[in-house]
Amino acid sequence: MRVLEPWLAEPLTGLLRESSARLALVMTASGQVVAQHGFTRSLDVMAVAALGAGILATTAELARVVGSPTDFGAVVHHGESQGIWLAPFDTPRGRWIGLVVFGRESSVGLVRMFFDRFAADVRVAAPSDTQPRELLAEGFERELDDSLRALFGGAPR
Amino acid sequence: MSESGNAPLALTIVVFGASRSGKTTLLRGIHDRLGAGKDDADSPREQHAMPLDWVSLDLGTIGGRAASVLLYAVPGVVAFDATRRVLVHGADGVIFVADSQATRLDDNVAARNALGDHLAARGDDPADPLPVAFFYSKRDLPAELLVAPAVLDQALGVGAAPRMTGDAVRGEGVREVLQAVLTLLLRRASGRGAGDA
Repeated sequence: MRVLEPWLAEPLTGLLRESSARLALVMTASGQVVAQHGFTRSLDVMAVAALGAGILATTAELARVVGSPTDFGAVVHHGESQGIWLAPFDTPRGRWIGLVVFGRESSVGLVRMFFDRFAADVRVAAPSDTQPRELLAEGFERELDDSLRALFGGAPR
Repeated sequence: MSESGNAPLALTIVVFGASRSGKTTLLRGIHDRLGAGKDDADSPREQHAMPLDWVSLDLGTIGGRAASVLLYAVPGVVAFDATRRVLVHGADGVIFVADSQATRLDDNVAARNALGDHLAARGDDPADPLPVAFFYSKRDLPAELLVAPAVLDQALGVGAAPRMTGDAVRGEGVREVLQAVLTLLLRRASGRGAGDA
């Protein structure tokens, strides 16, 4: 398991243990990965996050177009050997998305129940974000310039 | 992805513009030039793969925080307007790509108006707008086919926003426009304001 912020580890561990999920991914609404379990390649994590966020964004827009007063909520794909649970949830950091891959050892109902508990645990565990923006240290523009020169090539200033 | 320490800065930039204006070429220009400043051993191919119309860049440590940026090209076709709205809604910054050909001026203006609508729908504080940088593509074409940058500036309402001209196929202006929009959104993220010099 990898988490961006340590306080996420306990809720995610609980979800994985109780639901017997095989893979899990937590991301922001725009697809930035916050935590993951079970993925072994970084490219897979980024692709799955982008695709999952895209699916939920699409269903939310579909809901708006057809006049649904609320989003459609969770999306479930139930395959022969494994299923995917994809659902948004609100946190003090804004709307996040959870993606859970589960096998025959689990079920949609089980994942749903423990996903709801996970979302509640995240809301409790998340530090209050009273400062909406964290200041960057001085000199960040020079560091950005150095970083892009390192990535793209070019003589240092 | 780091496991602890200062919260990482994960940024999302959408590349917006009319259909066939050069958005995907700009992303490909970024992608193809990654690693130009590094040895191959420092630039694993997998990290730089471009499986979809997006590119991920690890910027290293910026201002004391691990920073990365995802760039997405939004569909230029009007039929995908809902998708474009969703992508702009989740963005931290925008690169608007305008086709420099005179025959595409109306398409550029229509796309700029659509972007304006999507930005308005976000409901940002007018004093703290989403950073937007402009890139005028295809400047390598014969001069008689091109519209002057000043005309595009006027038509697109560029104002004080950063504006670069170039040729994404050859990589001209690509790094510069990326740096311009990143600087603006890092200033915004730092609370210094996009307009602060």
